[in-house]
Amino acid sequence: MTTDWSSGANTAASTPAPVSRDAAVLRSAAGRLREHVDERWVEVADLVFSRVVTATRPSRPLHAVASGGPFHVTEQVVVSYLRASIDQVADCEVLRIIVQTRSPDPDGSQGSGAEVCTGVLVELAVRYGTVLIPLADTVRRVASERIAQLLGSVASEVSVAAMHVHLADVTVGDPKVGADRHER
Amino acid sequence: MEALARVGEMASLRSDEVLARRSGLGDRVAFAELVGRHGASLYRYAVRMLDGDHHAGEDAVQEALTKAWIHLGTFRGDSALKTWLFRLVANECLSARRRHRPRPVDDQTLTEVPTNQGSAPEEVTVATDLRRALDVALVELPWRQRASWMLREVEQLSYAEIAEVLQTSPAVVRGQLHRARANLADRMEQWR
Repeated sequence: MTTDWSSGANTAASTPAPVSRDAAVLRSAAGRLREHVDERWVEVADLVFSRVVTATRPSRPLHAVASGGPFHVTEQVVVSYLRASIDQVADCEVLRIIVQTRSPDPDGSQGSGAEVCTGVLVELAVRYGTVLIPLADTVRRVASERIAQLLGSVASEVSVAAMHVHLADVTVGDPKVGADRHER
Repeated sequence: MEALARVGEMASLRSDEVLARRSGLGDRVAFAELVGRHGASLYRYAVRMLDGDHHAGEDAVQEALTKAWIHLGTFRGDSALKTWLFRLVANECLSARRRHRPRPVDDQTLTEVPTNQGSAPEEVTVATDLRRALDVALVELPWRQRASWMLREVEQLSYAEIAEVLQTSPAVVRGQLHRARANLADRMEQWR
């Protein structure tokens, strides 16, 4: 009786050459290790994930104004919320969001050093065949509304004219899933 | 809850490339999917590279994933995401080994000393199975051989990808793999 290492089952098969038996044992062992999930990982995966996403990304503070006074919102927060809002628009996927800013006024009237948001560039991938102009208008409106919610009255400076929507890519399938690129 | 479930289902359909991009834009659901997809492999690799120390492996994976989360916004996809993640983990494992420095090891010396000093097959079989015997054999391998073998045979990365993870050349990887296979075959001799 010998062991069939390729399947892990016991068989009465004839004995293969020594070299290939070595390889078969290692291949079988590697396969078992590949299929193995360490119990400890199952136990700690959620905890590790929750710790990881609390890490703060380096990000510029942006000037914002609420009814109670000025405050700061980081650029990363703006990008994150914009992505989530635009994600609700069908047939497009956000590729990149660039927040354009200017330095605060020297008289200090716009907070303590936070940059002032002046525009947002949204790069999109769209599904092949989508009518682009209405889509771009929708994305521009959604982004503009979200900016106003996040930055308050400061958002008036982020004019619609400064909200660029750049159609960077076209996909054959659903761009939110990551279908093959059609053309750039 | 249904909306959340739909978001999760959608994430599972997405490619690594799309998930990486969305994670870079702050999408935690996308990053959770990436961790779910690759976390077990990264952890498996880290623990074996750290001589079976699960706590050290957990720390290495957590550090690597934290760096991934922070830097995904600038990830340009020059390499596959999986390769990039393994590179982050490999670097963390190397740092951990340097911090602890268990003992100086010379690749060549260990390569030339076949070990039959490990547990007898009966003992290993009683306590574990073939996989655990492999774990025991892996601990005895020099670091680069172990890393090359794990990445090739278990994680099924290409020579070029392994070279990228270990920051060396495919030719060096080929050599390390050759020696690793010979050493492991020797250590697993009782399992033929």
